[in-house]
Amino acid sequence: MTSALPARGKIRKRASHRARILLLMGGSALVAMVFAMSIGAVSLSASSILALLGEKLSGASAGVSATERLVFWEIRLPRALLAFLVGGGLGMAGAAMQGWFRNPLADPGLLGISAGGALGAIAAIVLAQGTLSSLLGLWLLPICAFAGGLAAVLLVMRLATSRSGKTDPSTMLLAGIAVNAILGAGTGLLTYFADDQQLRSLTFWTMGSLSGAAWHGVWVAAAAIALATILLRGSGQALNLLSLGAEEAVCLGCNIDGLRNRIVAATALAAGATVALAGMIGFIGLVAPHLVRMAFGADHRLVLPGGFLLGGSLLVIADLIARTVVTPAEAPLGVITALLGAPFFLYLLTRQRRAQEALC
Amino acid sequence: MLELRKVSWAVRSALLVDEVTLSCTSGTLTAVIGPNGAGKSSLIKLAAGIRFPNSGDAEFLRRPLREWKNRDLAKHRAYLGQERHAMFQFSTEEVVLFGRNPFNQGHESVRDREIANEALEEAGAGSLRGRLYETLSGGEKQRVQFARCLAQIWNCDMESPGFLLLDEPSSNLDLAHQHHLLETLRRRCDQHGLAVMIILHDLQLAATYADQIAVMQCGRLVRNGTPTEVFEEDMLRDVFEVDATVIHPPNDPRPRLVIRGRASVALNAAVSD
Repeated sequence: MTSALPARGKIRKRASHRARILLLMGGSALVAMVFAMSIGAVSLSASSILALLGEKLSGASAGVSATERLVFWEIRLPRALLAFLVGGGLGMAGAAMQGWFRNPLADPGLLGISAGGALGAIAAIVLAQGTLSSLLGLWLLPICAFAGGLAAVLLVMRLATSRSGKTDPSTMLLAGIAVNAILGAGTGLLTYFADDQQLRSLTFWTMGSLSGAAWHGVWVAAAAIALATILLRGSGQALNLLSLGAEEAVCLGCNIDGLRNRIVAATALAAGATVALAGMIGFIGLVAPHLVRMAFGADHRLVLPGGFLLGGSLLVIADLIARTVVTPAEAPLGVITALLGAPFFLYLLTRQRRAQEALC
Repeated sequence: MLELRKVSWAVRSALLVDEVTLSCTSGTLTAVIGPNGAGKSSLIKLAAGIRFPNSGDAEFLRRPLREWKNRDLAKHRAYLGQERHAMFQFSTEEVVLFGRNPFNQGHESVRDREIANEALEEAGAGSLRGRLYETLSGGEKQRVQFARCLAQIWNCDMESPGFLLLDEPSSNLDLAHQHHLLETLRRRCDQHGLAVMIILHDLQLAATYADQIAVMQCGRLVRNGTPTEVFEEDMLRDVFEVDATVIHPPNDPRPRLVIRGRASVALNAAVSD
């Protein structure tokens, strides 16, 4: 993969270089999805998946059994798509947060955005019955989760960013801890008041799962991701400038206030609203941008879309593990991502410390 | 190019800049000197349009700095602050290319890359090409950041004026690179009509290269003029608390400073001032 980097001293168009890398990552994401869709109680071969897709396009039957058709269209495809979109949203939000806070440890989970989304969703389940839910229907949960995520990200941004746009790493972490604690207390309080049936769905939010994946969820996630992507358009370069410092970025023509607003809204959409669909899933938002940076460099014009594609692929694989490792039951998805992501997080911490020691 | 008229800036109750009047014109190199905490960095931030004064006027190209659009101002004004740290693993070329952002909004042309390379050479950082910025030493980082600023004002000339503000750009540089930096600035001033405002701690460096010396003390501009006018033994004792002799060589407008040590009556002088 590194051979795709331009030779030193050679002047090449970097934009097409970025496009090639993203194309490669998009291709890998497709392969991951097809692989994940092929495995399960009813196994579907890659060729039958292609046949099923071709059937839809041409309208002619392609000799696939009715069971396979049903499993693919109603179970596997929406689930894989939802996993990809949710993971992608988390990866993109993580990349944006790390860029804004100039801190590789920033992550929607660590900063309380996921917890805010979960509190919003739980509040919707426990409190908002009757008129409100009948009015908004299936959109109620995502909207409440978005509002919760938005409140959390606003709070963390306000606490950890000075008026001139300066951020402080330790304040960011402390603010994240405080916001998580407040939101956790709110969730605990609502859990206390919930009845048995509500409790069952509450555990879903705290552990994370894609078992309820259906087409309406895919559309909601796609809408949230599309909006977030539009908001983050062009902010890759702004985040690059910000890595030099807030004042330096301003002097290079960056509009810090505009960038802040766009990042707040986009992360609340990409990380907050997706909580409504899959519950709290940790570490994807932390790990995906890092892996992109390690492989292809720090350019945020690549890390933002790359974090999306890789985050999506990682969650597709994690979900595949979650639903196959203890068949016929399902392992909670949040547990799988934590098991894979937490050791990586620790590795990052030690690596960062070693790098700092080396500089001293 | 830049006009500051009685600008004051206070943060909470602390008065950082107190009624300073100063102008920087095209082709002049203005050195801002003064002891620690005198308000030099605050002044340069007001001049750069990063911060705005509580009172007084700050105008750039006859237009209040407040009214400038960020993106337009960035085409004329480059700023090198004291922040030398860059988050994430960018290469030196990438850091220098960020200087071209006001002109390309992140869509770099081949010409932008050429400018970045030439700016690295001019800043004496050509050998650092291909390195990761975070692995550089303090002095090397300063040279790369200087190249980034040069790339930003690269095409500035008499028709499209450029203004470069540098906050202690030489603090980590060795002697040869300090002089290289100031020679580069001098050449840009003389040949391209650049206006430069630079904070320096090395007074001899300021005396050797600057056209205008602005002396800050406790937020106020206490002296302002040519090196010969400003560098007097009394001033050095009152403001910098050093015992010095100023030599004015014949046929040379650049005074030489011989600093013998800390002035013994420094504290009394500061109080009576």
